Amino acid sequence: MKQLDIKLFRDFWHLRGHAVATAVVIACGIAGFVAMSSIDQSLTYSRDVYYTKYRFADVFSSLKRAPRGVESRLSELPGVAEVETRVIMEATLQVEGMTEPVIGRLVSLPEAGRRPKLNNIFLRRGRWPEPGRSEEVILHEAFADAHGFSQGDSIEAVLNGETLEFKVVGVGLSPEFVYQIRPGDTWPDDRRYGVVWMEREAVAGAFRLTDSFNDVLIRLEPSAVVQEVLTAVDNLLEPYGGFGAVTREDQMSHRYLTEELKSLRASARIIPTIFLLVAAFLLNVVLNRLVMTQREQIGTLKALGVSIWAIGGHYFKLTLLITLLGLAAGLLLGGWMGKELNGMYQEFFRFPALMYRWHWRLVISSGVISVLAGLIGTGWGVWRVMRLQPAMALKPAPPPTFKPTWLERAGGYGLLSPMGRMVARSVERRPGRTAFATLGIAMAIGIQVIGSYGYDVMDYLVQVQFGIGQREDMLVTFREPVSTRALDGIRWLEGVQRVEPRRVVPVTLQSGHIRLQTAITGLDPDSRLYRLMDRQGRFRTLPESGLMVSTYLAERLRIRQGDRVWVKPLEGHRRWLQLRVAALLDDMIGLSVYAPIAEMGPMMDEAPVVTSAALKVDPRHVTAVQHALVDQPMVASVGLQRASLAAFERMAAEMQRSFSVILGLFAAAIAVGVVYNSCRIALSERSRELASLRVLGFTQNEISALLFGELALQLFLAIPLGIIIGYLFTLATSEAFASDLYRFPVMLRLRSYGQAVVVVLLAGIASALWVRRGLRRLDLIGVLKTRD
Amino acid sequence: MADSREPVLQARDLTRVFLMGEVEVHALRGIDLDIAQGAFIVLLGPSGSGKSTLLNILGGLDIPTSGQVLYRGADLSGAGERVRTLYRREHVGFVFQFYNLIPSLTARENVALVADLVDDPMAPEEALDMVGMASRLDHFPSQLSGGEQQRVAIARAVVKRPDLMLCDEPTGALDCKTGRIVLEALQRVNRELGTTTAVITHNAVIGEMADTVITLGAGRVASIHEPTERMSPSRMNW
Ligand SMILES: Nc1ncnc2c1ncn2[C@@H]1O[C@H](COP(=O)(O)OP(=O)(O)O)[C@@H](O)[C@H]1O
Ligand SMILES: [Mg+2]
Repeated sequence: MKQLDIKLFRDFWHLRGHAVATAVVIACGIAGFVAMSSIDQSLTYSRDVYYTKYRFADVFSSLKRAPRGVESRLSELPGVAEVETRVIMEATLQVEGMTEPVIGRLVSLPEAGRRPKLNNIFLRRGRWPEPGRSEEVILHEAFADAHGFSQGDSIEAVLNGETLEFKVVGVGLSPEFVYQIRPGDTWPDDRRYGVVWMEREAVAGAFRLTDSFNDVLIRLEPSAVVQEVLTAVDNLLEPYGGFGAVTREDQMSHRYLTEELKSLRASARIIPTIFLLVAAFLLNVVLNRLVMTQREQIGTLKALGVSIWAIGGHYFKLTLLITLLGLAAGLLLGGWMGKELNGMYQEFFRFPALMYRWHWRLVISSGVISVLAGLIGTGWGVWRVMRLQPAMALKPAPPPTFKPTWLERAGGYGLLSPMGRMVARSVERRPGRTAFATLGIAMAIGIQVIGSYGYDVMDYLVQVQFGIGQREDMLVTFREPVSTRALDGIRWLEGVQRVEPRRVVPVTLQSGHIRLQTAITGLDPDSRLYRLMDRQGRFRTLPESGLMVSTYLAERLRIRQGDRVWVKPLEGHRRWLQLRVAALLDDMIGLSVYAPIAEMGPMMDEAPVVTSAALKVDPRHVTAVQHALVDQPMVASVGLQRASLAAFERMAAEMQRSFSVILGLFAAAIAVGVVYNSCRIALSERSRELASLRVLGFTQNEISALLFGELALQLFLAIPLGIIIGYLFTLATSEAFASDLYRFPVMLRLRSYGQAVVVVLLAGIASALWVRRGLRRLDLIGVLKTRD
Repeated sequence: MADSREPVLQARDLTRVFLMGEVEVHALRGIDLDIAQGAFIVLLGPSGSGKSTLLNILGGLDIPTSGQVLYRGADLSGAGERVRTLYRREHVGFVFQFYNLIPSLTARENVALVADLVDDPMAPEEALDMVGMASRLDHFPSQLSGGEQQRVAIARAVVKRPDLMLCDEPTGALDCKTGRIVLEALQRVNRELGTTTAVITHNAVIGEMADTVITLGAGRVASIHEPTERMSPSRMNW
């Protein structure tokens, strides 16, 4: 046994090149798995602790306005454990250094210094506002960080036309705003939007909501039937303009967090699967080669009476050694990557502490999957070793026999030189090996493509959706619906080139028993500032009448084009209507419903009104127009979508770049692993031929052609295959990651595909050249002394 | 007879020392030799006497530790890898004990592969015809007997019209009858094309077909002998 173990290390040393190349691929797979899973675990853990400790609510509803007395009726509903009511309003903040106004979401704190029963605040710095000090506020950390605010700073705020000087006394967080994003926005923008907690009376007073509330948080009893509570809350709040109660699932921040976790989990499954399959293939090839060269040794050992288990075990241990090497490196690399990436998540998701932690079970499952890959890769080879009869093994393996292959018989070799034929015949003799190697390289290309996909999508969103689709410079939102005539006042402002009206009505949609909260956006069919586009970038026009619904929304409601859907406006008459789905829109973002603006009046039983206006503004006048608009009492806010997008893009691009660099390196590792192994094996299998040819007067370059002929073929086939795989990967990714937040287009970007192909080819060629050094060490004389 | 012809290859005080760890193995201890144009030479000697080492050096596969090898007056002993490759490619045809054919190529293709290396080769079929293999052009090595494979190897060496044929125990792995056929093929090439030929063997009988028989012993030339009459291989027996 001792001797076998010495042999183990000798074999390992002999195979070190293969071992390292294979271990690197395993390490990448495990690292991907550990990094993604640990981030998932860390985020989930941080979230759960946070939610519990800061008492994140279960049910949320906003409404127009209800008297405080309704609160006790809510608490009495069956299934409701606790109720917290609040006043939430938006105000314009004047932040120094910002030319454009900033929107503050004012969230009321309970009176008399009481802490919120639900959605409590984690105070990072400073203190709570003192009762009776209406100017004292706590800022959301993301917002405070974006502007460098801290205790003692003051901010001028306009609340419903009334100017107030806020004094920052604290910086905090809440489970409600882990992801701080303005309702209705697609991207967070911590510079232009921030949550501000302040005394209830100050907000309520300014918006004439004294002794009233417009937002409810509910904690459920464990036994509560969620759907019943939602219905009961909706019924109770109906007369007060309730916008429909939702669970955490539809709470903005929670939803974004959940989507992110979902995609992390998807990546944690996909990435290691690909890598470990490639690793299994590599192990298989290496082991088979080793067994081929050690047939006689195996036979001798068996003849000497060493048990087949000891021999099988020996080869399995060798595999295990390589696997464990990869596993160890993967755990270290994955841990490090996870920690780094986890830190980046702190930019997106705000927790009191985004702890990086991974469960010891992750080590176990990493071990299990890598050993499994090892078993898949070598099980068959080890089995064959165990089954090999000593008598058979002691005879040298029968020389390879060659026959004219089918391609040849079909006349396909007519043009090939003798060297070309050598390559072609060896490929045809072992098509599986070529196929796998080709597949491995193609996978590497595919992974590269996927790596740049996220980046491309961001780019695309900016270029297409906001360059061509949404072209407004400014979006003015009104406090209450205003008559279309009010737009004239805006139209005459200097620098305003175009004004387009919009009417947005929050609605509940129902089909069967599926209910969804969304909004119908009434648009001018001839709108030039808001052109509807599907996710492939094709323009779509609004139907003459009826609704145009996001495909994803239609799927969730299980409705098709031409169907009718129940719609209840959450303002105005609030009656159920049946509306026709005239068209579907396969768009990128959100759960949208569009209708011609002319239909909105009849739908709502009202004279034509607008709730917002999209503006095209001469760049020189943007700031002046903004300020003029903000000062108008009817204007709730002025948004700059493009600026928000740019801010988000910076953040997301950083993240995407990290991911694509990591995936790029991983893909290169696969390419190196596959090419190195396949060249090394070609070199050792062909060393006799290669040396013979050198003796006959072939130069090193000429025999390299033979060595790399097969590789060239693999690379040549891998390119188109890799492009197809890359495309399928993006298709799968865009499906797997599709949510009601984003639906990304499947894209074929020449640059990304080209880059993927080039990177993989370079990695492959570099490792081939590395192997090529072996040609200089060919033993020309030795080869003449031995038989085949 | 040999003196009247120009020497193609000359060896001057060749030595070759192999280092086996700490031990020095003196394979050649000072060889002086002239090989005349068109000669048929047989190298005899016991196993380990340095025959292969000498042939490898003459064929540009190895370099001597000291001494000179002159090919038509040009010194090969100090030549680099590139020059020696070119020398092998253009001037030398090798035949080895174990044939060293390419298993994935047919007889014709094995010959054609090498024919492509030079400017004015024979047709591969013609070369195979010379060794009596015209009927087995499209067979793979695994479908041929040892003697047939060796004849393909000779055709592969001949197709280049080399100046030198260097054969290291071409019959070593063959029985007597097949060996004779192989030797006849070599003799025919030597006669018809005038190719200078050197054949290593440890079988003294084969010496009877040579112009010159050089016997090595312990890395030195033990004797040089020129048979008066060249015997045809068909009459040899071993
Ligand atoms: N590559 C080598 N390394 C070490 N010793 C060698 C090597 N090649 C040959 N020898 C030694 O040199 C001597 C001559 O060998 P060789 O030329 O093969 O003899 P022959 O062909 O006459 O049997 C032998 O003692 C042999 O062991
Ligand atoms: Mg020898």
